[in-house]
Amino acid sequence: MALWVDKYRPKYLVSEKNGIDYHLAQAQHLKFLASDCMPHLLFCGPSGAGKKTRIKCFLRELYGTGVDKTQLIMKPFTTPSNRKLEIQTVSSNYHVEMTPSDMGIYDRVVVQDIVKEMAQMSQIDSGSQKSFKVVVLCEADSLTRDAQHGLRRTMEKYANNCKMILCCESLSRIIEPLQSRCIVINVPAPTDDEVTKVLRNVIKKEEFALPDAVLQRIVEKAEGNLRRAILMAEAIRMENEAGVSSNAQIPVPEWETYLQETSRLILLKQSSDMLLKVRERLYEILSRCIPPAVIFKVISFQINH
Amino acid sequence: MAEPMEVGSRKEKVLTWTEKYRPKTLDDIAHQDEVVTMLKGALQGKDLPHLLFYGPPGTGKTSAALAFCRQLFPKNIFHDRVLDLNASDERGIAVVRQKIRTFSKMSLGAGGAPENVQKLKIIILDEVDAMTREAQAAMRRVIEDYSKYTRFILICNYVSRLIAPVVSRCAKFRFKSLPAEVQVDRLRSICDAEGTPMSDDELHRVMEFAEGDLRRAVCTLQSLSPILKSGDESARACYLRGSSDTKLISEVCKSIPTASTQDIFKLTRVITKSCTGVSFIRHLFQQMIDEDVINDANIAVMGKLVATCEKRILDGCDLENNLLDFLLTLRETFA
Repeated sequence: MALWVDKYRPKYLVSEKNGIDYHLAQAQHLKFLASDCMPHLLFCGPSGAGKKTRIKCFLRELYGTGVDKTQLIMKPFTTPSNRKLEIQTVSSNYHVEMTPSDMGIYDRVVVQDIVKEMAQMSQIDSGSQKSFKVVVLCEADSLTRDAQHGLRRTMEKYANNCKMILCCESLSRIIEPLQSRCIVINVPAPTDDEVTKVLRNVIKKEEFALPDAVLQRIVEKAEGNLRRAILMAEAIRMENEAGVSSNAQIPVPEWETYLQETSRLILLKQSSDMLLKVRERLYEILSRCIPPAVIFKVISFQINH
Repeated sequence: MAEPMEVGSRKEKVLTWTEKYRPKTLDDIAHQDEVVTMLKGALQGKDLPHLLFYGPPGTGKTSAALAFCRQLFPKNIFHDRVLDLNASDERGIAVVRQKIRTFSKMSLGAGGAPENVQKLKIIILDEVDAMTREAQAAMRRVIEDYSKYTRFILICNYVSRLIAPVVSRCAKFRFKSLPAEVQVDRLRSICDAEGTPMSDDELHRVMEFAEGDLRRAVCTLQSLSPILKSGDESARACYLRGSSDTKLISEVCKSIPTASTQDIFKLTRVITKSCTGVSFIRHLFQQMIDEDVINDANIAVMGKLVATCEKRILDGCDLENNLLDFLLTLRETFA
């Protein structure tokens, strides 16, 4: 059984049924772009805003349902220091999707060898289908500078064989020369109203009675991350088989409660004892792999509220 | 190697406009007069120095180098005479020692210095600033040793990332950001050729968005073309209205001096959700100068603030935290 997030993922850019729910004008624009002269695209936006969904819809618009028949292929490559590594790619007849930044510092080799090789190969039968294929690079903002430089000429030289779609969270980490080669599609997070609307649709289709108060709390907690909102709704459904009361609590991740407690301690007393205690707590949470940026964000927010 | 623009008419329809309208001769290069005059002189003349082109993206560096080589060498010997290496090729120290050295070593015809420029070989190294320092250092001797038959054209964005010995071996040419009129002219000619006429006002919008980068402007134009062709006036107006965050920026501009800390937290959330970091800060800065919020009294402090924040974000720090810091410091400056 598929998760709700996958089950209710929009399938088409512009459509009455199963179409994209928000940023409609942009979806229309994307539909226009899905033609023979499509440019390279760069999708950016916060997580859970629907970048991947739009890319999938875009590809379906471009090639039809053939893009859904994907298979997992491991591509081997050799680093300059003769280490043999493999990268996972998801590909259909028309497109290839991969995350070169998984390979850490070897992402440059992936870009120079695998991406370039794919770009150089042209489609054999360009009569019956599009004359180009699409390479989707996920998490492009965590590519090293070297790897990004490696993409520059490849994107220009083989532009008629191969179009790139880059997907990233922060545009600032993409070097300017790459930005200038792509059309930047900014996918902002949905507003709270839009999240509410989508959630209502989902629970209606699932025939699941969720009190408005709980729904409101979910939307607040999700902070514009639609994926998180839908997952939370499903989690609540799983926990309360019998039915949800209007004061049902939304589970808060443990690390967040821990940070809340930490910021309470910081405000409680500013002494050297407390300093040591807080430091210990911070070390503890760092060792659980919570990224420092998130810790800063949560603590600065808690201290001011 | 096959250059995209030489591909036959069968595939012409899928060419991106940036490639289709890439300048093919030196005369087509917009605005970079000194470089073009020099290169034209070299086409006639007897000698050519090593060249270093630098400047912001989309100003015509690679186009100038390729157009020059194409005019210098007839098509049939182009591949023998020109070696074009860019960051998509492996360019470690080993490649400098083998590939570049071997290519530079080959002499053409009988010994002795060639009598004119047509007898030279040219190595174009694109994106040199992405090469390691070691590889650059290894190039020093290569550049000098074989200067009898080989010239280098180095291309980069930031000349400061090259090591000094390499820079001092070349004649430096800076490619300027293209001024508005030049860009609008070029965009208009493309529009006319593609049959998607646009008004001057609309072209200015596109160009403003591209910030002096012609390639980006052409790219944007292409993405707009299906809408323009569709003849849907309302859609057209919608896309040419300009960036969506103009409203947000002027709002921030007004409210910052009096905003409460809670407000700033909320504002930061809104900005991170909908805009793209660095460009937001730049536009905000510009807007504040325009509205005279920033004046002679505080411009030094403000400039420093914007610069530090931009650097941190470009170095990969978290956007939301930095924006928070930026807006809070901004408020303090006005208080």
